Amino acid sequence: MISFSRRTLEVATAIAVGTIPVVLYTTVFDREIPRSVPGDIDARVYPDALIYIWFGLTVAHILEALFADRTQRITIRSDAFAHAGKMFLIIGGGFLLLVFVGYIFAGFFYIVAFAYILNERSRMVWLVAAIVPVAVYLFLEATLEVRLPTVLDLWR
Amino acid sequence: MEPVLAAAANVFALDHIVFLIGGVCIGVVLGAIPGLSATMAIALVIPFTLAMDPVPALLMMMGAYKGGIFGGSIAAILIKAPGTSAAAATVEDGHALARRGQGLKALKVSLFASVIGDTFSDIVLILTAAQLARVALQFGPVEYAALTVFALTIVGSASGKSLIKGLVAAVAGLSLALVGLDPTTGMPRLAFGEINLYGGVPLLALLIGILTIAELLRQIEARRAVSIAHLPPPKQPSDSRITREDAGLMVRPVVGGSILGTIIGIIPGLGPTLGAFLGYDAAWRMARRPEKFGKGSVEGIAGAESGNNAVSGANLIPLLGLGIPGDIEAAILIGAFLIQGLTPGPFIFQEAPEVVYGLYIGLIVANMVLLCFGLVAIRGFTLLAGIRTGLLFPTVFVLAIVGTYSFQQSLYDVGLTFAFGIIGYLMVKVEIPRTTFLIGFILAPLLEDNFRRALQISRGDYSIFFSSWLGNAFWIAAIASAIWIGWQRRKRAAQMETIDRQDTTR
Repeated sequence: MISFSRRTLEVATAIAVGTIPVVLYTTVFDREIPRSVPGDIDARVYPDALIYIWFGLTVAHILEALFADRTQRITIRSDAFAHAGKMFLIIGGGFLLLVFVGYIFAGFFYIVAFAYILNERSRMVWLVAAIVPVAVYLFLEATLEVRLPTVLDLWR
Repeated sequence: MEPVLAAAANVFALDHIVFLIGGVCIGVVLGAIPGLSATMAIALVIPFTLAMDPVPALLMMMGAYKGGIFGGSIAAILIKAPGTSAAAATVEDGHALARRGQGLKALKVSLFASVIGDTFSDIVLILTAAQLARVALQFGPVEYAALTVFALTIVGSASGKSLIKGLVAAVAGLSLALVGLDPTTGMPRLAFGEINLYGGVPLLALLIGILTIAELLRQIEARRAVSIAHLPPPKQPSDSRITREDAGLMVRPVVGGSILGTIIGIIPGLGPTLGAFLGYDAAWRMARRPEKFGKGSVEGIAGAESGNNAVSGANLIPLLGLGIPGDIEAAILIGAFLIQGLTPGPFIFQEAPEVVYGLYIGLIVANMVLLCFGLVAIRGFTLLAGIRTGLLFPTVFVLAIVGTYSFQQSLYDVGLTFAFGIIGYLMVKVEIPRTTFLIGFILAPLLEDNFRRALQISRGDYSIFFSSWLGNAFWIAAIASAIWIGWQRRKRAAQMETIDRQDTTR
């Protein structure tokens, strides 16, 4: 179990979100923003303007986090992290299945895995997992001419 | 007259009506399930409309939108868990009636109030959007840049719990839209050599990731169970229908809610939740039976539902007139327009009048379809609200993936959707509003284009942004709205603190 004050969370959020414009401005913009055409306004003007505003808001965000009256504590049970970790693993695992084994297996996996997490243990889960991905596949191919990737397409 | 007749013929084509009915059904079903929403319904419908012409595609999405907003009230009434936040005002009175065996009556009141409020705001839309577009045609780049900033400020201030976080979300959305091709040089910008990003971040992947996947992860994490088993059956026939007395009670709240909801809908950022609460408040102020509020008041349900549904039509006024979305559903509709190759805004009235008229006719027809579908299927809603989320959420998850893939048939987009889903989930955790982020992303091209054009006209002189009286009015409105909303927020927080202290003392 982890416990911290609301203020700590807010300051951490402000710093994490505020790091993005700093990284963009110092290391990315020079490489990734093309030079402007002669006679046109500088291509950096608009991106720079956004980043300056973001800087200003970050400072305001940190000040708000530090000085606002937020003494309440937040407690997160360790199983909440485990649960979130499981969800992310399912998403990642399903994506790998989608890329290497195709949509129908991935669809089956997602339905079974998420239903399990949702404490759904009936036989209906297996039925839905077997029918829905195939039905959607056939529907899309018949109506929208969209062909979802199957194992045959991926390993052809 | 010719475009109107052509649009009518287009709307009333059999297959288009089928799409509209399909959209309404999907909207009602998804809106009725706690955890899913009208927003999710539209986001899920978009991919399936890609192969359609603009009019049927927009009809299906509008059907899903309207159905979804009404659907939110079904769960609010039957299981005391509003399907959408806009239905929160309906919870107390709706569920109190359901617990007395008058659930069907509550649903019918909600349905009629929703349809009347929605139709009223659609009529206002039809009468005013073109006039607003005519005014907007006079805008130059300075006015447009200022108007976009005003819209973002008001959306950023009104959504979420913190003004600063709202504005951070808006700027983050604007920054994400930098990815793609530089509008002046045509060279890749912030694409990191990744060819899939040369066209910018795919809108559909972003929408489905941030809205649908993130919301599903949140719901899967919450693992909530719902039950409607305790609701008693009706004791007498009048418990299941709107009596003459009920109809008399509904008139004033529906009129008040419709007008207030329409006004709220026109102002960007305020959204149907505020419309519902203001409609409820107005209904209480003009109630003939104020003592019944909170204990099962027909007037309360009518005011809240007409207020919340009236926002949906009015939201399209700034969308069609100015190209500015009023709330997240309108922002998704902008995305849908863009995917269909249309740019909402004042020029759409000249470039695609048949689409605009088709949309107008379709909106009214969608209301009629919702009314008919609601009356026919009302008894089945009990089943909807009690549907097993353990089966439904994973199925919707798979549909979301399929939707993203269908757009460009790209696994890269699916990967991006998951990435945005996780970002959206984290945004919810740290209370950074996703709505503002998405609206910032969608409005970015409008802002950047006009920002650059203004600076090109002035040869880099920033004072041009303060050279027009209308532009200055928008700047002042942006600052004033942020201050006013911030002040209101502080006042509300102080009131809540006082109530908390009183409760603790007791």
